[in-house]
Amino acid sequence: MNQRGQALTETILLGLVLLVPLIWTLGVLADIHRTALAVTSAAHDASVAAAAASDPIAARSAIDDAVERALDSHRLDPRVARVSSDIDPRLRRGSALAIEVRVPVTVLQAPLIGRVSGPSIWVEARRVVRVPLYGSRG
Amino acid sequence: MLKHSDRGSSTVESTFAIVFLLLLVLGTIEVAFALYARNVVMASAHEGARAALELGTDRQTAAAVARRTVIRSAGGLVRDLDVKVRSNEVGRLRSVRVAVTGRLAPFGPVPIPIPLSASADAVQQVPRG
Amino acid sequence: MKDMRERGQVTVLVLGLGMLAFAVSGLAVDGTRAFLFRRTLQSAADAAAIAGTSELDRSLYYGSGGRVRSLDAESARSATYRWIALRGIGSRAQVTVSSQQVRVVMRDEVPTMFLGLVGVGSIPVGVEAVAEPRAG
Repeated sequence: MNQRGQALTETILLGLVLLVPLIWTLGVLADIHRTALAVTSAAHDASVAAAAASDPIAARSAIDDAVERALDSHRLDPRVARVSSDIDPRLRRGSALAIEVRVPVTVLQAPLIGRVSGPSIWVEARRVVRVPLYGSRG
Repeated sequence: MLKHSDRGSSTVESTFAIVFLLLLVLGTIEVAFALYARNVVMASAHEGARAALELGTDRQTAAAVARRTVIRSAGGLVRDLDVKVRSNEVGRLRSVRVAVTGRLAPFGPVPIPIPLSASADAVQQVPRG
Repeated sequence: MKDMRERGQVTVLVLGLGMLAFAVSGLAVDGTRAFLFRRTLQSAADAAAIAGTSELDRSLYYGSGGRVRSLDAESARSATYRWIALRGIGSRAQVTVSSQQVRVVMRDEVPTMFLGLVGVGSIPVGVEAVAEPRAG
């Protein structure tokens, strides 16, 4: 008599036990997806801005600005980003310009508490462009 | 050995269990889809703003380019896409702001269309000469 | 008190669900890696194609006073390949150049970590980028 409904109860419990890690995984994947889109945009925008700059100092500030805007658009905090750039000291035309943007995605998150510090997955984008040979600059 | 009165109930229970699991799976898929669509809408707003800056020679072209970019990236996913474009020029600084709103078509256990929105800015320094 | 037959059913169920969970997480991990690599490849192809469009046919350009922007196919192709090498990814690349366009197609295989256990050893990734020379 007391076994009635037990199978159903067990299934519901099992379903819920599966659901929690599944939703967690979904959250992390969605964050990785969003961050990947954001860093790729950031690296692209930064390279365009830097390649059109008048000098290396203007280029670096243009890079920081572009990265901040791109991350903002994707609702990420620009302060957690690590940006590194490799610019020709004279920003000569035809020279290589390398920009790398790295943003961490927190893996440990709780639905109500929010992000908990812990291990994170670093999502990065690297873009190597050429300072255009023609066209106006700065 | 099942008692006589228990026999029918296990089938009913199994049915409930299967329906419950199905709802769970569909609901999870819908959540995944909604998150994905939100990301795409955000990215397309940003791409629209950048495209408007690069290819938009005047206000109208900028708006048209932004709209086209957003629709091309997110149009397949999101219904009732509305794209608002605002461009500004102060001195040598050109800026474009793109605001996108839309609704995600429902297909899972939740029959309500989910609203999505995003806005993005892009700024460019017009080169001298 | 559960009888022996029910106990066996639960074990099978748990085992089955465990395998399913493993497969799903495998899909998630490998799928994410492939997705991230695809974006890297696309970015590299984009940058290489754009680099190639700088190689204008100079005599035509200067001769027409900056009006005719046509690509020097040979130097555009070699510049594009050079920029792919500079990026250092190592994926297969195919560059096609016309007078108005540089087209880069890149392909690679992303080795799997989890899906290899179910027979999927690698995920193929392919991207295409097209760039044209532009004024400005």
